[in-house]
Amino acid sequence: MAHGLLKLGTDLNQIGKKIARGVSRHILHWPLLYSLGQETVRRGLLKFPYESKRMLVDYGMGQIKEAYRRNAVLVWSSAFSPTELYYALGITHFSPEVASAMVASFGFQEMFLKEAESRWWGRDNCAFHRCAMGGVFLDYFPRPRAFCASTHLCDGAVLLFNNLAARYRRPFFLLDTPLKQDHGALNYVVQQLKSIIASLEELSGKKMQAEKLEEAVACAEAARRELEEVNRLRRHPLSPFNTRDAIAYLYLYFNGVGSPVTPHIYNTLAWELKEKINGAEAAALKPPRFRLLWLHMPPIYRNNMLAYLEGKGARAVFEEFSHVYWEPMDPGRPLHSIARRMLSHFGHGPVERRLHAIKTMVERYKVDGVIHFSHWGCRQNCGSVKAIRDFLRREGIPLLLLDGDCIDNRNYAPGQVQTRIDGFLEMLA
Amino acid sequence: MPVAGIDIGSLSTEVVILHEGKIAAAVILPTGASSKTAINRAMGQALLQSGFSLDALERIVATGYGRVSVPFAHEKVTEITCHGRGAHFLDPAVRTVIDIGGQDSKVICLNGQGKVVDFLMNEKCAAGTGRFLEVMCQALEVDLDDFSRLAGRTGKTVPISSMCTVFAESEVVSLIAEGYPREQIIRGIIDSIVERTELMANRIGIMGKLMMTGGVAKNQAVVQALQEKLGTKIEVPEEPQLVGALGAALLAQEEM
Ligand SMILES: Nc1ncnc2c1ncn2[C@@H]1O[C@H](COP(=O)(O)OP(=O)(O)OP(=O)(O)O)[C@@H](O)[C@H]1O
Ligand code: SF4
Ligand SMILES: [Mg+2]
Repeated sequence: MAHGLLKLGTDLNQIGKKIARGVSRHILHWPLLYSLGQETVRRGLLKFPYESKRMLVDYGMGQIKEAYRRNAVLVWSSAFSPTELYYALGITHFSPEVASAMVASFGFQEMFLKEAESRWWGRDNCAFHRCAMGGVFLDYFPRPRAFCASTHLCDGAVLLFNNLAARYRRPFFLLDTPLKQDHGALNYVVQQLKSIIASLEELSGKKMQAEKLEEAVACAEAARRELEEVNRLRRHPLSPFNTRDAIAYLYLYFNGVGSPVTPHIYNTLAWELKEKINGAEAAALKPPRFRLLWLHMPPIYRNNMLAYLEGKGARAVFEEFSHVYWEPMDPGRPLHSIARRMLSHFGHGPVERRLHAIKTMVERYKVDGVIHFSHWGCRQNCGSVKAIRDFLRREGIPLLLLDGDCIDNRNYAPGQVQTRIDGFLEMLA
Repeated sequence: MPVAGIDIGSLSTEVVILHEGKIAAAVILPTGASSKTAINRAMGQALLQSGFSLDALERIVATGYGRVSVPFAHEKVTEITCHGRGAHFLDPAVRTVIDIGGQDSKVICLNGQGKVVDFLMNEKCAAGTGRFLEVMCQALEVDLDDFSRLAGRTGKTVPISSMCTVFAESEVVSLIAEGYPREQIIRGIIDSIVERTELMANRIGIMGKLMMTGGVAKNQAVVQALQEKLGTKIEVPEEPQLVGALGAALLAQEEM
């Protein structure tokens, strides 16, 4: 009898969970939800530290709403793929890696990760991908019409996208990026961009218009200039903007290149930063004791690492994902410019390129030390740790290696991290 | 003016009181389940030993993982800086310190002034630390003194392959059941600790004179084996467990 009751209880529990999942799935797939969200943001019902952040959230919600729209021509695009193409063609895109980051920022990552793990997605996989897989299994994400991934920077993405394309039975467009940056390599990428455009045209039934492509690249270029201005302001000793503030804006780097909204948001941010810096000067605020450079991403789930640093007078004044490494883009040669932007990423090719970029950032932002966050499962990031260490040692710049995970909070031990941070700051003192 | 350093580790709590450049009191107690109790007891004993009252202590620096919970501390400093400072005081020629405690092991690089210039800590788990050794001793039914003594009796080793403390324990239990002599199993355990420590030391690169601190430095068999593995002499101070608290007390003195 007791056993029967127990079984009934478990069954009911399972059924309850299933219903809850079904309902939440249904709601998430409901574009009206995001319209409501946008209204809330627009009417100022939510507080933001920066007006540009409000614009950013509004923009992001608009994109998600589009992605969930029925009949949307939606392409799932890997984090480093060129988004200019989608803006030019007027089709919607969705990055599963960025979606994972959002899931973690809302604190739902455990549910997603567990779902993926229960289906044999091992914990040695990058959690950006594992969490995204959880979202796929739970059917929480908008359903794609095609997949597009580039091979540069993240080799896990190619495998993930290949797997997803088979799972959804949708076409997969691969953009192969050679390690060189010479004429041949550029042409090779341009050719592939052309063939991807052709595939996207076929998929969407839309024709790529030359002026639209130029427009998208012009927007990308405007964004680049505005981001440079933001970064220039971040060099100021009193700039309050730290890596924690910057994470949200990385959405634009991953999803917003080619959109007319992006330069606008960066421009607003620059204005706000100017004002804050002026205010700080007028109030004779003190600059932080230590200025730090953050390599790779900080954890996105709720954690106190960066706040802890601030509390100790150390500010992560810059992070490598915000670095403008690519040259000005020429709307007159749109595909060539996109190819160059991709190939010139400092994480692509020999490690010396990343070292050179790190040196530039160290000097430009006048940092006292560097923190390398070794995100579990990211080979391209962790693989260069030894080279970075040796390099910074030669340059006489202190480095703290923090092992952790950006998405999976289950191994996060605040005490251990704090001891390492404290030890590092004592070393800098 | 007397000053004090208190080191609340995961396994042991130490207090050192310095007065006029001399050690006026030194106490080592197990931390136990409540660090609060350990802090009060260790400080109480040290005060008794030195004849000072708590109010008479000019400055108190706390270190160790429990440093945040010392109500009477004027400052909190990590074990990294404190072990470095203590080691430098005991021998200014030391440039590298290996501290292996109950749950943490670390390698610390010092400059000529005893300032930390680099450090590395073990990741997440307690494999290759003092607690690992204690669990293995329990499985073998020997105490830590016997452990060192028995290790000296043989040159043969039964390798222990598990890194996880729990798995390694059951591995040891089955090795005993298979009839392997305890001496050889002990050597296997020592090798596994030494290998993990060597790995960290190689990563950071040992420079200059090397000193070992923390409770595991009292384990002569481990020190001996590590010395052979690293091919360099390891200096062990008279009371390695006190080095963190000593460093904290020295920092308290300097701050005045
Ligand atoms: N007399 C002894 N002989 C051999 N080993 C000993 C002896 N005393 C202590 N140890 C070893 O030292 C370990 C404890 O070291 P210690 O007291 O430095 O740790 P702790 O500072 O509390 O820990 P942590 O710094 O990791 O928080 C014990 O686990 C044991 O292995
Ligand atoms: S963290 Fe590394 S492995 Fe994970 S998505 Fe980013 S680049 Fe790829
Ligand atoms: Mg200790």
